[in-house]
Amino acid sequence: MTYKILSVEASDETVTTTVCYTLADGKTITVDIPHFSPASDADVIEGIQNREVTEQRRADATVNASKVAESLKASLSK
Amino acid sequence: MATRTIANGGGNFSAAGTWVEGVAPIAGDACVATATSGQLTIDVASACTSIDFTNYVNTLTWNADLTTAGTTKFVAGMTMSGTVGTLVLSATCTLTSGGKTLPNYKISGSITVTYADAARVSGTTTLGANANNTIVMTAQSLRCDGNLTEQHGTGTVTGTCNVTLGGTGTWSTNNTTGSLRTNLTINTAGTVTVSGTVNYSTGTLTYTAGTVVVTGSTLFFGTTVTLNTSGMNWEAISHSSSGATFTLNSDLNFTGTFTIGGGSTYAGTGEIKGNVTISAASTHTLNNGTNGINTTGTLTLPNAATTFAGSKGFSVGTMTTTDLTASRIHTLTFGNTYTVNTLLKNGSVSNSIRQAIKSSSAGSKVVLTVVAGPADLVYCDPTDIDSSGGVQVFTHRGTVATSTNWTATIPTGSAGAIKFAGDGGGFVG
Repeated sequence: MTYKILSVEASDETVTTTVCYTLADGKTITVDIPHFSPASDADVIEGIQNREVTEQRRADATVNASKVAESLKASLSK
Repeated sequence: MATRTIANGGGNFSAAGTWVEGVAPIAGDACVATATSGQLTIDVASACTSIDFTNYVNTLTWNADLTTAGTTKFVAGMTMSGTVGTLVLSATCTLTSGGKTLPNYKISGSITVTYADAARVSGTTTLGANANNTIVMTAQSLRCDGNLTEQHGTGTVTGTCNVTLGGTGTWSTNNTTGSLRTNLTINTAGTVTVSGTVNYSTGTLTYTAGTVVVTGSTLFFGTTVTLNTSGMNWEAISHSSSGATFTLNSDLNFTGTFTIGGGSTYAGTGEIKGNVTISAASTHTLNNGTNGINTTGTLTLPNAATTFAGSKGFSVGTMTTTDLTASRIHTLTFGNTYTVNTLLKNGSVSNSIRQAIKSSSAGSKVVLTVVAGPADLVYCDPTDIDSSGGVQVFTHRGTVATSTNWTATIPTGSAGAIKFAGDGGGFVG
């Protein structure tokens, strides 16, 4: 999984990054990520990397839920 | 107050031989270290008045709790280990973490903690002593990598310290009346579980990253809250504030219902995205987003007078009311557009208990568009409502006053007689 920061904006105490993630299956998603009162660049990067983990986990969970549903449907039809 | 200095040989906190003075510290004593002090293990629950480990370069091991009642200072050059113990602060103080991660941390009482640097806790952070505590946390930041357990009863946690849920743990409170009033950010590669009802107020709540489990939870928020949490779904949300301002810096998403018990102002670029139930007489000033409320779900109006004010309308799937026990007026602000996309209906009413929908400006029609029906109301009296942009709205035994595309199917005051016309074929079946 990789990411690319598309834009960065600051408003009041929040830095918002728009980040495009390429998930493990090759699909891409773009999300706006708020970073409240970051102390440094590293804080922002940590947030982006944490979100990377989160988005991949969401994608994996979605795929898994679909598989489970298909499995259940298949068992119902037997 | 006696000073107790960690001897070069180090040892257990409770052992007399660990200390230069030959006496283990007790509450009232100051604990200090030197550059040559040995390792120190907190072996049993202990207490002292202050800790100053300036120049300490050895290891502090937490195997039990240590309560301090004053300045508590750790330093970068030392090492901290152990996961069992808790640093308990029992009096107003300054906490210097020195970049060290505390195993567990508790603020025990109504005190002020000033953070000299960024604090981090790997285990449980407990705010309060299971009583009604008023806690102030000032400056810097507190990162909770484990549980955030609020035990301040009906008291509050305020201050300028920015709190982050940065690991895997549960956010819970022992009293839903007491509120957390510091800035709070969810930013983790782990999982945060919101347990039961949590009360957040007077700060900025930000979601940056993390899996957030909200099953069965309610986010209750108080006054003057800024929310920036569009990356996650809450479950239930509620507030009962009147006159508060809620700023939505991004969409407020939730899978349950947003129960609104008071009239407030909504600002910012975000929209309310989910079912909304208003439970009290109130004025809701929608100045947020494009549509203040924008949902395919249901907007339920209360058994009470309600006004939608502000510069924004709403777009909802269904608009309805709870059952009315007295006639109620629901007011929409002229100049805004209110859209019902799927279903317009009302709850239980009667000839003497009626619903009125009216424009905020007498003689000026407010736009209420019902995109698709059914749009069948009962004992509903519209005044100055323009529904020409959508399907026709029917109101059974309603009184339609200067409203467009509304039809009273059996107007109020009619005898109720129905004339059947035709070729005389009558009814069959």
